[in-house]
Amino acid sequence: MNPNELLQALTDLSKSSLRHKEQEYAIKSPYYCESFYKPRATDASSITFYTISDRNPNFLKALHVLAQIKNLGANWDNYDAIIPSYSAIKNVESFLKKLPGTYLNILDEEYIYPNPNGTISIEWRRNDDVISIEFGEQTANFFSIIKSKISFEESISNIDDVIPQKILDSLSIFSNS
Amino acid sequence: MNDVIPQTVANDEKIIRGLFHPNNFHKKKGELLSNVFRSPAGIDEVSVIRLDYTTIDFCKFHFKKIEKPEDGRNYFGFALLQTHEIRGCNSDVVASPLKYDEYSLPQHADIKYGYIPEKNKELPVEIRLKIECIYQKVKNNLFQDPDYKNLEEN
Repeated sequence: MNPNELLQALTDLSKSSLRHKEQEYAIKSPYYCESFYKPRATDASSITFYTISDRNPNFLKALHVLAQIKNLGANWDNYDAIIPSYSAIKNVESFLKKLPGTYLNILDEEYIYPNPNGTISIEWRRNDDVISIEFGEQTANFFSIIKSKISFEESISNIDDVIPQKILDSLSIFSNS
Repeated sequence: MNDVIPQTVANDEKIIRGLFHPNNFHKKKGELLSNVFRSPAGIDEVSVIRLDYTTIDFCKFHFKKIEKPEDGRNYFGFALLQTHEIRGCNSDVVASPLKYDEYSLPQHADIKYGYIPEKNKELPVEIRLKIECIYQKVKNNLFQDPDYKNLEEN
């Protein structure tokens, strides 16, 4: 083997090793979560595939919280709450996939939580300022209170498709304040 | 005891809501989440106890009775409010005495928002703002039980 061949072989080996490391990282990553690799339903149409670009740490943390919410049973709050809606959880996932990275980066995943009637809320909070989005099975709504100014929108039917401008405006004001 | 408890909840009465860890808390910050003041689907009732007609020890006895440590839900403590604070958020508190097999709870009451939540459907913003109003008043008024042990930490 001449030096050039040896160099090429080492380069190939290194690339292969990196690919292996990447797969290993995907499996052992601290952001690994059940929903990422094992969707709850077993039919192929419900399997969600995520791309490398979805691997924003906050997105993965959010998926982890949603996986925990999926596992909640009835009466999870001790006050007769129902099991969180699977469709509402999927709506949150779709919304987060559309959310610009700037706003994903300031999302605290622990402000993603279930409500006793099966819906899911996402909030951004700082002192008395809040942006709160509630996702139901079919629709969502939002309100924000920033520096005592209220903004809101009811019955948003395609939030997983297009994020309403009012939400983006509130997030922009919140992130710059 | 029922005879001495008025059926009208006075504006200056102290009201407490039992809190159970972990699903109503931001775990890292230990902050309360506003879902603790939401009613289940199909009813307009957020269960509370009128503290002026009972003791913290009795409330603790009741909350310990309904906690589910085997399912990972532990009694944490309670949130304290005054009735006028709830009414100041366009909501109401009404007496709703309860009777269990082993004991009765004539001091029981319900916060009412004037809306019955539907299953898997978001609450109207108007109702969510009432809940947010109550949440803002109570979020710094939490009392942790001295015997509370965090199951996750242990």
